[in-house]
Amino acid sequence: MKPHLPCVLLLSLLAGAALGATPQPKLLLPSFDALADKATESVSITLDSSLLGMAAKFLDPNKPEDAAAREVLAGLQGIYVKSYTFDEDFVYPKADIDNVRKQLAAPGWSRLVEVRSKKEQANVDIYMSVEGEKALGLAIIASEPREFTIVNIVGSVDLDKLHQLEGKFGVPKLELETDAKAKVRPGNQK
Amino acid sequence: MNDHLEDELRRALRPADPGDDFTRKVMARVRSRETTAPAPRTRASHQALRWLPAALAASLLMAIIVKHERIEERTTDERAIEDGLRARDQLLAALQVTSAKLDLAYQAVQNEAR
Repeated sequence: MKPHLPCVLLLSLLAGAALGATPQPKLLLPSFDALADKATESVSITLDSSLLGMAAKFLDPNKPEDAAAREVLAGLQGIYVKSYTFDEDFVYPKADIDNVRKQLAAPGWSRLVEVRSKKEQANVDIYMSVEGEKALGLAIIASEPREFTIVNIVGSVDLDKLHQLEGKFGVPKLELETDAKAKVRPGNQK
Repeated sequence: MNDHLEDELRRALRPADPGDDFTRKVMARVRSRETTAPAPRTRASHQALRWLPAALAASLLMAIIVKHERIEERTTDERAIEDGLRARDQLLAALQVTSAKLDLAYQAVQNEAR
């Protein structure tokens, strides 16, 4: 039987996609339009590589926060942030968050940190997309009773440099737990 | 009587030499008229006069176009600067949020380790 050429092509494409599936460091974030209406404060930031390049040109090397940001920027291709603050507890839909979590269950993504704080009712998950030894992206899902944040950074991320930014922007160090009740699980490698 | 009158008339109307001074004055007058009199219009100057309004209009149009382009360039530059500064602010805000959430996790990890 002579193989049908379009079928062979289609099958080979599907097989190729399945075998060589490279991790997608850019997540498909929901629009969260309904959340923006309910939120007292909402932040939605979309910075693709061209906007990052434009922003880099306007960073002042004499300002410490700008200089620190410039260091972090090297190797990044995109930063996407959605953050909402509410005046009531848990008004954000879990389904939307679960939808993002599903994308992070795909091969290539690894959960580095999972924080479940009963006291503060705060959950923070940090995921990293890695190929070989190269970091391709980062995702943070942080949910608190009145705040919900998703961060997706595409590119080679340096967590230490990112964390070192703390304080340079005037953000106070947040004390989550003082009595070690936070439930911290190690990341599950996929 | 008639002869006497005739002689009188002849004496009065006889040709007299006006002298060198008169000739010099006349020549001076002629020269002064030559310098103050407008030059007769040539054909070339007539042609130039005909194109003058068009040339003026073209110059005015060019000036308006150049001015408009300069304003446009300045507006584009200002817009690019505004976009760049907005991108910078967004970048700093994004890094601020990221850093704060990372700190939330770091604090929990450190507290757990204690």
